[in-house]
Amino acid sequence: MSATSDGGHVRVGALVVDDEEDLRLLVRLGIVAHNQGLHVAGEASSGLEALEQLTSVDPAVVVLDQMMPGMDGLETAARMLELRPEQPIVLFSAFIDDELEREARQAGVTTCLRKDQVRQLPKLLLEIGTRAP
Amino acid sequence: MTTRSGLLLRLVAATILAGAIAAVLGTVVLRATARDALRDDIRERNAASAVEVAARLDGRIDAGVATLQLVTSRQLVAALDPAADAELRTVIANTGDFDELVLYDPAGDPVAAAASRFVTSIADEPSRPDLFPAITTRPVVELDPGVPPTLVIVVPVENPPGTIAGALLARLPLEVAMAPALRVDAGLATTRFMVAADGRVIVHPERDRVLREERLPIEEIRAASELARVDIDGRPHLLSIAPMESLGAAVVIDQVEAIAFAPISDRLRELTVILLLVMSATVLAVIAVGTWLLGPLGPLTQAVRRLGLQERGVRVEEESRGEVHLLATEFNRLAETLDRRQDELDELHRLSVLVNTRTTREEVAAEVVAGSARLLEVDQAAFCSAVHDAPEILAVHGKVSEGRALELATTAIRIGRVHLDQDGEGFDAAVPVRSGDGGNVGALVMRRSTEPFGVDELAVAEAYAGFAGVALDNLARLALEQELGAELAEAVEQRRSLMRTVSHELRTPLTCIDGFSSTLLDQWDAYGDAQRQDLVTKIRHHTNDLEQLVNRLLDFAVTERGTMTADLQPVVLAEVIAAVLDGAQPLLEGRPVTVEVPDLIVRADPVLLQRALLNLVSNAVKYSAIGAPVVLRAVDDGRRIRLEVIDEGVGLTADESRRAFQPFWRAGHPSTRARGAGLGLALVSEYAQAMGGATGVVSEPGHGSTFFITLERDR
Repeated sequence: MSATSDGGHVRVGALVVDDEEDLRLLVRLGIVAHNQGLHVAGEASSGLEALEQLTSVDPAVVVLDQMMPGMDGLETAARMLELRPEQPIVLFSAFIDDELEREARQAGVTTCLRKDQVRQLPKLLLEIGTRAP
Repeated sequence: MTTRSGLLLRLVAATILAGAIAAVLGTVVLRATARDALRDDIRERNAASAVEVAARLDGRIDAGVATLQLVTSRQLVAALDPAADAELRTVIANTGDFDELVLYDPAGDPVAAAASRFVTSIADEPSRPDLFPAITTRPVVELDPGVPPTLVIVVPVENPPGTIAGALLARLPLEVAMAPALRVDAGLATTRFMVAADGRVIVHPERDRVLREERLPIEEIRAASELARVDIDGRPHLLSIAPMESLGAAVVIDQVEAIAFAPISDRLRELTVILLLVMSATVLAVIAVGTWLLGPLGPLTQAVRRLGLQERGVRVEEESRGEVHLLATEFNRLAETLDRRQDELDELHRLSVLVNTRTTREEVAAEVVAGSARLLEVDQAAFCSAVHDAPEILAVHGKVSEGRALELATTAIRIGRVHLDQDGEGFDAAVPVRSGDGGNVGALVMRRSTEPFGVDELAVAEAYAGFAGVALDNLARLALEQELGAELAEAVEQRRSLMRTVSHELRTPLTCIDGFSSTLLDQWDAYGDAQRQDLVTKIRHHTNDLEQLVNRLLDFAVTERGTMTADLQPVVLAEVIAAVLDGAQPLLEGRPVTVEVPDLIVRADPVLLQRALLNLVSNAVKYSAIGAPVVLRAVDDGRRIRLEVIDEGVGLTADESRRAFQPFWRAGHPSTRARGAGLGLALVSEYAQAMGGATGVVSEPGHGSTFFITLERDR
C-alpha cells in the first residue's frame, strides 16, 4: 500500500476523516509536529467524502471519527474495507466502550483510540502504517 | 378366562359337596329308618311266626323231638316242669333280678316233654360243665296271647354260644326243658344250637363260632342263608333245616334280620352308585349351565380389560339373553360414554395446547371458535372480547348475527355465568371468558338449530372459555413483558447514547482546547503571530462551547431537582426577541430571518424566556439546511400568547414530535444526528413550565417544524 521508503525514510500518508474541522486541524498539527515520515495525505469532513478520496489518496492509514452526520465511522470503515480489504483504519472517537470496540472489530477496524489520547495518535499511525504487509 | 373357569369350578365343587352331604344324610336316615322298622317288625311278628313255623315243621320233625321256636333275637324261651318250679325260682332268684316268674305249663306239651329229656341228657354231658360261668336272667315277658307262658332266659352274647347249653344245665340241675335250639344274635349272624332227638345238644359243626369275632363277610352269611328261604306272611325267613335224620332234629333259624340287612347293604351300594351317577350328572349339568350362563361373560370380561387399558371403540355383541343382554347393553353404553369423554378430553387437551401457542388474541379466538364448533356441533360461534368496555367480535364460525352475538356476550359477561337463550330458529349459549384475576374479559357465543345445549356440552364450552381466558391472560402478560423489556432496552440504550453524546460534546472542545494549547506551547517559536492568534481564537471558541454545555447540564440538573424558579414580570416581547436575534447572530448568518411579533407584553421571566427562544432558534438552525429561512412569530389568541419558531428543516414524525421535549432525546438516527446533548428542547419545556406556560411542536417529515411556547399575557 502506501508506506513507501524514500532514501531510508519511511513515508506514511494518513487520511484524516472528521466532521469537526478543528479536530482535523489538531490531528494535522500533531502529525506535522511528529514528522518522522508521517504526513497528512488527505482530509475529509464526512464518510462519503472519505470514500471518494480513498483510492486517489491511497493512505497508509485512515484516522476515522465515529460520530459524524450522515455515515458514521463504523459504516465508513466497512465500506472502505470493501474497496480496500487490507486498509489499516484507526477509529478515533470521543467515546469508546466495549460494545463499540466489539462492533469496530467486527467491521474490520485495526484499532480504536479515544480522542483525549490525541497525542499518542501520530506514533500509533506510524506504527500501523509501517506494519502494513 | 381364569375368573370364569374359577367360577365354574366353584359352582361344581359346591354342587358336589351338597350332593355328598345329601347322600350321607340320606343314607344315615334311610338306614336308621329301615333298621328301626325292621326291628319293630321282627319283634311284632317273631313270636307268632316262629310258633307257626314250628307248627308247620312239626309234622316233618321226628315226633320224639320237641322243637321250640326262638321268639325274639335275644330271648331264650324255655318251658319248665312244674315240679321244678320252686327250685327254679330259687335259682333264678339267686342268680338275678327277676321280679316275676311266669311258668309255662308243660303238661301235655311235647315241648315240655322234650325239654325234660333235653335237660336230662344235658346233665349227663360231661364235656362242658364249666363253660357257662354266669347266667343273666331277665324278667319273664308276656308273649303273644297264642303263646303259652314261657320262661325266658337271656344269655349275654359275650358268652360263647356253643357253651351255653352245657353251662346252663350244669347250673340248673333241674328237669328243665330247654329250648331245642338256642339262637344268639351276634350282629348279623346267628349261631345255631340243635337238640337231638335223643336229647343231646348238638352244636352245628360249622357254626360254632361267634361270627362277630370271626368277622365273617356278609357274603358268607348270605350263602349260608340260602339254605332255605320261605316267606311267612309275605316276609322272608331263612330256615336252616339240617339234614339230620341221624340226629332226628331240625333247627329253625330265623334270620329275618340278616336277610333284611343284606338288601339294605345292597341298596346302600346301589344308592351309592345312583348317588355317584346323580352327582356326575349334576356336575355335568352345572358345567353345562355354567358355561351357558357364563359364556357371554368371556367377551365382556375381555372388553372390560381393554376398556381399562383405555382402548377406544370397545364394544361387545349384545346377545339376546336376559341379564347378559342387559349387561352387554349397559357395557356398550358405558364404553360409548367413555369414548365420548375421552374424545372431549383429547379435544380439550389439543385445544389447550393449541390456544397457548397462539400469539395474538385473534388467533386464540379463532382456535376456540373452531374447536367449539367441531366438538359441540354448533352452527354458528363467535368469540367476543370485552377488554375495552364494549365487546368486539374477534373470531366467528358460520354466519353469525353480530348484533345478537354481542348482545348475548354482553349479558353473559355482565352476569358472569352461562347465559342461555333461544328464538324460533335456534338455541343460543353464551359462556363468559374469565381472566386470571376473575374478571370477565369476553364470551364464547354459540348457536345451533338442532337442540338446546346440554349440561355436559356447556361444561365443555366452559372449559374452552377457561383455556381462552388463560391464553388471553398469557398474551397480555407477554405483551406487558415485551413492553417492559423494550422500555428497559430503550433505557439502557438511552443511557449509552447519553454517555456517548455527553462524552462527544464534552470531549470535542476539551480535546481541541488541550491539543491547541499544547501545540501552541510546543510550537510557539515556530508559529507566526497570525497562526498563534488563530489557535487562541479556536481555544476561546471551544471554551465557550464547553461553558454553554456545562450551563445546560447544570440548568437541567436544576430542573431535574424541581428547584428552578421563575422571576415572573411583565416582559416586552419585542425586546426579548431582539436580544435572542442578537445572541443567535452567528448561527443565523446567511439565513433569511422573518420576525412577526406584534407589540405585546407577556408575563414571564426575561432570562428564562430568552434562553428558551435561543434554544428554539438554535434548534431550527441545527435541523435545517444551510441558508434555509427561520421565522419567529407571536400569535395572540386573546388570552394567551403563542411564540412560534418555524423552520423548513427535516421535520419530525408523529412519534418524534411526541418525544421531542424528553431530555436526552435527539432526532434522527444516532449516527446521523447533529451534535448536541439532547437537552435543548427539554430545557425549553422546563423553562416554559417554570413560567406557567407550555410547549409544543407541529411538524411533518420533510416539511419543517413549528416549535412554540405559550405564555400568559400580562394584564
